[in-house]
Amino acid sequence: MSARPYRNGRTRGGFFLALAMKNLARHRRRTVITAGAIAVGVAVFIWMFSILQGFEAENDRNMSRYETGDAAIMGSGYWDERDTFPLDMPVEDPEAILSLLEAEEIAAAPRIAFRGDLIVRYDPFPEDGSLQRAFYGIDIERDSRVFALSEAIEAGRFLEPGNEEVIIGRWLADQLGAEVGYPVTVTTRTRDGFYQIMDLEIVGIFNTSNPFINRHKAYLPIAVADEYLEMRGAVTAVYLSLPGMLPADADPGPVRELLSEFDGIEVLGFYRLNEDFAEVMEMENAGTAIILILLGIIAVVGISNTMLMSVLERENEIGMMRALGVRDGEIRWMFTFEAAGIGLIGAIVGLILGALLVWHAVAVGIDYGVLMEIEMDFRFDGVLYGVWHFTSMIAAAVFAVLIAGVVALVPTRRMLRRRITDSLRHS
Amino acid sequence: MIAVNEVHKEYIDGETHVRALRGVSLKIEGGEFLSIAGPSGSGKTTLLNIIGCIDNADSGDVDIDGDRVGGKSKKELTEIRRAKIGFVFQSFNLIPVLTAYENVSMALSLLGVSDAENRERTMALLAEVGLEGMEHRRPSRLSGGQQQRVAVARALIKDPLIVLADEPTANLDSTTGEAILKLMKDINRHRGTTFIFSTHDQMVMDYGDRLCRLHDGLIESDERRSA
Amino acid sequence: MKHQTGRRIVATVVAGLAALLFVAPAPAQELTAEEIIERMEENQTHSTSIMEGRMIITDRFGERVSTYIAHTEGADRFLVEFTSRDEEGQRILRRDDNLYLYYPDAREVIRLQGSALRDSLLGSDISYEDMTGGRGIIDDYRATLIGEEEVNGRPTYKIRLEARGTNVAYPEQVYYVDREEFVVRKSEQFARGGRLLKETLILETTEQDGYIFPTHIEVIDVTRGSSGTEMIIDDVQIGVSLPANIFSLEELTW
Repeated sequence: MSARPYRNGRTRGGFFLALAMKNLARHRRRTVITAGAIAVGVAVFIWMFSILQGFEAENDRNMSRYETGDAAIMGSGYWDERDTFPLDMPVEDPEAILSLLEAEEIAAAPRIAFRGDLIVRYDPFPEDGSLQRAFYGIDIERDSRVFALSEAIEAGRFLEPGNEEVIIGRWLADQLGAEVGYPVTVTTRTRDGFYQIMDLEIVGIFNTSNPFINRHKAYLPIAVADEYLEMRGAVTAVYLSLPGMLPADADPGPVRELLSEFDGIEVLGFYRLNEDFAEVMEMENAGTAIILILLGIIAVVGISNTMLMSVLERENEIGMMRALGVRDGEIRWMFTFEAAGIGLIGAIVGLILGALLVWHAVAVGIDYGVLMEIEMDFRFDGVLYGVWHFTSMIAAAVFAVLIAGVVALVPTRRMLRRRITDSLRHS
Repeated sequence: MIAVNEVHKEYIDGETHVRALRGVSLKIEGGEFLSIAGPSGSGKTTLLNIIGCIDNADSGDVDIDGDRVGGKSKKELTEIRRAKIGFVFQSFNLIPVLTAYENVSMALSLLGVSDAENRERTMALLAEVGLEGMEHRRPSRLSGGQQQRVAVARALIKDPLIVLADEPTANLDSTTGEAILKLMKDINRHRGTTFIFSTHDQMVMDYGDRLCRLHDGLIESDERRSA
Repeated sequence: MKHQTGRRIVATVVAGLAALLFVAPAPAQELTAEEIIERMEENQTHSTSIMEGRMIITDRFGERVSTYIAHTEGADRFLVEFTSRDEEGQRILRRDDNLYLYYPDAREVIRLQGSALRDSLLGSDISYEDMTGGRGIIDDYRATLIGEEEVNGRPTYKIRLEARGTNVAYPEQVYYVDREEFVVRKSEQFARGGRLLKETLILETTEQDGYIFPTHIEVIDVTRGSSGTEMIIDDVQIGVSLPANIFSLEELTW
């Protein structure tokens, strides 16, 4: 039954909201500690997310700028065999493809990738040795339209077309004791499988932000690779630079359509080219999720404990309110507001704290230099920078508030199950 | 207006089985000032709780304003209490974080009364119970008697059909207690509000216009007295 | 990928191909290059053998020795088991022109395919590819007799082998075949473009039961300067009977 029409709902809602906020001040220390735990959780999450996003963005950028472009055209089946650097499933007529792409003003660069032994000998090198490495024959002019390698020359110069020369990464140069002008020998196999030997001169040493290529890759003019490997004009891939905010946003669809006439090739988008990382990224994300869950549990345990204490110690008061005709829903809202208030304080402090951490991560970065001695597949070169990711920041804060509010329902529900007379007798 | 008919109630308190009410019948008319007296354990509080719709009878009927309470849902009972019943508790039971004003106006807020009207009525009532100038004090800065005045005001603010007061003076010294009783009686006179209060104190029960004595869950006597 | 190399010799000994070379009764006169190569191949019996040997690998880190026992049957079945501590229990099985590796730690059999065949055996100058091969040199290479030369004091035919097609690793090889014993004394492997890649020298042979048998072979990787691989046979038994299933995949994991 309804005794009077309740028109002014805001008065009621406002009353319970105000009461909840006042209740927050009842145990300041408890509120501060609980909010503090939430703040730490929010801040850590915001910070971690920023770092991980930065990590992923850096990895993507380094892949795009040095290894995969935004998309690639490869011989059918090549991608699955890429680890063995096969030469027998190439793009046979790259020039036809390139002219088609260039007519559409799509930047494209052909490369011949092959595996070989890089052999160095005592004098001028400090000692004899050989290392298996990946080599890339690159089209000097076109390569720079897609890749940033030419900007990363640290000593010597970039390659010049047709010269029997090679550039190697700083890490590899240090490892070998190589300097510009030193001769190296490369043994490999031709497209037909014959052994082949090349004598090349190191004309440049590059140092990119991609440690993987600094370690594992060497580059030479595509004409030299074509001649020695007897590629007969074929290349292992044509890499593309496509417009997109992030490399991952570049859409290879139009290229696929453009090249639909060509047989024996496939167009691989950035995601496909980076599928090796997808799994690791998934694991990373799972790791983040676990941390998030842990932080969530800390927040949940903290807040539910706090709310349980609040509810229990106010049993008599709750009994009185129910006797006065306060509805169960209103009592639930009151405690939900109260917990959400703690969550909100935590979220705001966490947001500020998190923003400070992110600011630090963006401006200064985290130096993983020590870790770089460990060989990793990830393409980042020691200093990890965070990125501003406002959606995740807001999401973390909102999540904290919501979860806090929801958590309060548990002890409240327990209290509302008790008889009013029992609650009133409790003091 | 309120009819209690053959109400039985048993409950378990720890290990003991308490037969709190063993067939109580009572009719209360509007404007009565009724004291329910009896020793501890006689069933006073249980009877008040059942009339106040915060407890239910095992058997028997309670009609409030012609409306049978038995069989109503929890929600419906809440709405009855919200609109029609005021409570005054032995230990005042004010909300410590709210001021005297807020503790009283809360009851009107629940009914959705506008802020302006609420303010007007609350201020007037606080003045009426003798708390003018103390509206913004929190309970911790009020004496026991003042707190109970706030509680009385809280019960009255919504113009309830009935105010139930369970041992309202038990936590007060006799002077203060008497003052509260006088206040309630004044209000009863002026406004015609029905009061039912329980007590085991002779002085207190003498205040009632009508005195019901309870013993072992039964009405022992029911007498009207001249004011 | 198949190719014929000093494989005949290298694989023979390392992998235990019992390259048992029959001593021809009389040196031939006016033989063509094909005939010399065929003679060399014909002289390899298809008997069984058990050999114990060593492989000495020299590189910039120094010298390492791996010991092994090899069981062979004919030209294209062998089982090598390493006995030196670092490689103990590792096995290589060749049958039906396939190569299988067994690693005791992983308890796993791997069939070598594709570019994995190009990997080096224990870091030596011998690739797994060198241990497999086709049926005959003449199928894959055009042979030309280009002269006669003395190798280690033995007169040899110098025969140039040029790849007929593109299914072999070495586009060109030169074999030095003993004129009297029809055993390879030396071979050279060239890269595309004619650069010398590897050199294989038979430093010692032993005669047993009328067979000439290489017991000391040296492989030099010319491009790599200071590295080299030596193989020495310490003990050989010829014509022994081998357990029935020794070359089966099931037996590889015992």
